[in-house]
Amino acid sequence: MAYKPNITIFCCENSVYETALNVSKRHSNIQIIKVPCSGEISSIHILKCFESGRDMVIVIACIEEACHFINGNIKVGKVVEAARNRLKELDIDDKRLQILNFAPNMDEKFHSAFEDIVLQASELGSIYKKR
Amino acid sequence: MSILILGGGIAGITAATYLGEQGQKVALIEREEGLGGRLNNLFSVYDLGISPKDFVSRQITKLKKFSNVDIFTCAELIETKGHVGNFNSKLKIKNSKPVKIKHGAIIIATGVNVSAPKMDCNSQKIINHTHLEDYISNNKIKRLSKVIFLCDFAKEDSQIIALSTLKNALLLREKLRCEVSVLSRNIKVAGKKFEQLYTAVREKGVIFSAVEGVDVEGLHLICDWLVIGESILPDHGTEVLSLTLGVERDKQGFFQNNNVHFMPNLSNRKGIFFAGACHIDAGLNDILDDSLTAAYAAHNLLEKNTIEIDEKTAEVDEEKCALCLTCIRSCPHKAIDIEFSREVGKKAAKIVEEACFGCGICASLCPSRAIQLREYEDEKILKLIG
Repeated sequence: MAYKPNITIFCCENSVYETALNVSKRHSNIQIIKVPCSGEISSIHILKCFESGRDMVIVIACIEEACHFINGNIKVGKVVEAARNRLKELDIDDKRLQILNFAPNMDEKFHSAFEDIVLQASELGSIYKKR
Repeated sequence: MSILILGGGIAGITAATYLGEQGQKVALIEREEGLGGRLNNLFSVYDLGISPKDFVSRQITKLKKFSNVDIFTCAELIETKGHVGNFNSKLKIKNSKPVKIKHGAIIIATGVNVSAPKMDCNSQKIINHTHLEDYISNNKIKRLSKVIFLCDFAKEDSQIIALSTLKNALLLREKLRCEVSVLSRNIKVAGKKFEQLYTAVREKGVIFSAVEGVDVEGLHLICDWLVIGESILPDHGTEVLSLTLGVERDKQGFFQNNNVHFMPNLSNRKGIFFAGACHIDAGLNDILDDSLTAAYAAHNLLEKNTIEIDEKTAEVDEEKCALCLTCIRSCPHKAIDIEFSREVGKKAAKIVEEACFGCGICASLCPSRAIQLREYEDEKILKLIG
């Protein structure tokens, strides 16, 4: 049986939050955390997820030029990159941390991206597994 | 003063009139000697009934009757401090002392710059819309047999040019009965009374030719006049103004209005609104509506003499603040000041609650975790993560 990964998704409330919430309700291993803007997410929050045993962390931000707060979705890019560098130092595959950009009406794209993410996470396996 | 309006064109005048009627105190700031803006130089506007100059004169006369509206001409904004409900601005006035004004909101109505394209050839037959308006108003037109308008030809033209093309095509056809053609890729009739104008123009026998797919290299045109639209560019004071007021501009340099999450007249700062051509590309009718919307928004904000504070704002723990200024530099809404804190005896960042949008970007980037966003505190999120 394929490994069931533990995934935390930080989702901007102006992006596909409603859709993501509904999807997470159907899967016990998927956690959604709502944020007012993807720019609110800090590397501490991301790294704590991995520390607590999550196999994958996804940040969902608004598409370019559509950020309600001008450029929060750009700022989070730098935060995620800093977090990725920490992961590399810890010898954790940095594919476990990704940013996806969606507009609120991109339901279908979110669903297909979500399936892809679960597959990737399943293949990467548990974060506790030795590389 | 309750509301500062920058720009004395029709947008600023319309907004000021509405606010004057509502009993608000208004300061209207105009850079030139007189009010009226671009409407002063137009010969006609479709379906207006009177000349644009008379129209704007009437509006100015009506506006000047309000004792609660102060008009400053030959004046420019140098500096604005403070936040929504409590702005302090300094004006530079030609041949006069600078003036300081306290106000609760700002409406930016600074309009656009109409810029004639540089021409490679020096032909008397190639003219732009400003020339055309000039010739028509000064009765300089003798006999013409054929006039061609280029609209939306090499690049996407502004609505202002499209409207001007149709209006002038109609005028030439009615006045001179010459052959009038419009060469274009697209005429987009999105706007108040635009479709009505287009129908009138077609009914008068103006010829429309589509140029999509036509090889325009070596195109040979036979006509008395070839009319080319000017470029509509941001007003030359826009960049400085955006820095003075901390408001965003879009990629073309106009004031930002293309963000899908923003109501059109709102800016990235609470209490600062946009009205008119400086942020939308439209003809007079839509500009009038837009100006009223901005004025209404400003009035609504200040009507109760209180500013509502959102609960979901950020807060600084002054003890932890190292004054690195990261938050101040990254706040998209210019909502953070530096203040001396009595409690901890030092200067620290201070979130101005009434100006805060609750995005949390400052909280995310603060290196000492000194800023917490209410309802999204670190403790709360870390607990969710488990």
